[in-house]
Amino acid sequence: MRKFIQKLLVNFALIVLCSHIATSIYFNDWPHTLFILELLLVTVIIRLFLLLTNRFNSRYPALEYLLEIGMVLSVVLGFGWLFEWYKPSYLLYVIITIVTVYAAVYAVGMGKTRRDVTFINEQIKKRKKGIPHD
Amino acid sequence: MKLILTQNHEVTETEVEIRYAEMNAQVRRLAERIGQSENYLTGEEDGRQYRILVDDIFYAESVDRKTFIYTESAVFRSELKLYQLMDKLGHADFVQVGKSCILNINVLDNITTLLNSRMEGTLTNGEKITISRTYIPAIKAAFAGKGGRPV
Repeated sequence: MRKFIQKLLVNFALIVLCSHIATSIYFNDWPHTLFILELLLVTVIIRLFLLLTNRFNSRYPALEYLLEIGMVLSVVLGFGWLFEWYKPSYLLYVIITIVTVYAAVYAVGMGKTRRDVTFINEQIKKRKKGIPHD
Repeated sequence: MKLILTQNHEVTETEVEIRYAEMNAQVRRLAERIGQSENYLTGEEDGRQYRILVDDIFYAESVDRKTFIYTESAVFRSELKLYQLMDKLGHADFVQVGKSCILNINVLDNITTLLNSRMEGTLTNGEKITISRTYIPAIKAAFAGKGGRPV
């Protein structure tokens, strides 16, 4: 199911990107396509930074969260300012939105991790009892 | 396939007999796995070389480019790199659980979730090791008997 959704989202993203580029070329109207490409650039940069921050291990989980959310905020606010995504008066709303999205993504990730942990613990129990694995 | 375990106090060495009608991949795999259970690696402790039974290895990790093998109560230095160890142990229920750690899943007692999206595995000797989320698919595959991901 997860792979299906992943493939679906990749296909959707490619369709949106290609259709916008084609429309922009045809009508010579680029603002929407540029906005999508800006989003793509910011996403790529965040993913690259996450690869770096994931290497940082601390005894204090709060430090890891702060580093991660700090990085996401810096990239989105920095590039958002560069690409004129928001006005300075809306800064607080932008920050609240970013933190909310980050918290939602984190909650989904934690849910998945808990399910995986439950599955593995069940497999360990089965192995101890000599029951065949799933 | 039937599994028959017979306890006999007069037996001095454990015997395994596989009865099969036809030699096929399943029988070969079974024989290989049983053969590998007597596999040994060498490790160094206090300047002396020791033979370590693969099944006795709890986990192996790489620290400052040095590889260490951990058993229930001892630590040995290995000349092999972690990826070389994984090549040797990957078929024997060992799986990568971190960037620099491979674990024998048979000694895993349970896993708990930590706050920082990582997991902590408690081993049968009470020792705790950190498990990265990245390697969860490999661990699940190892429990399903499909082998762990190479280093």
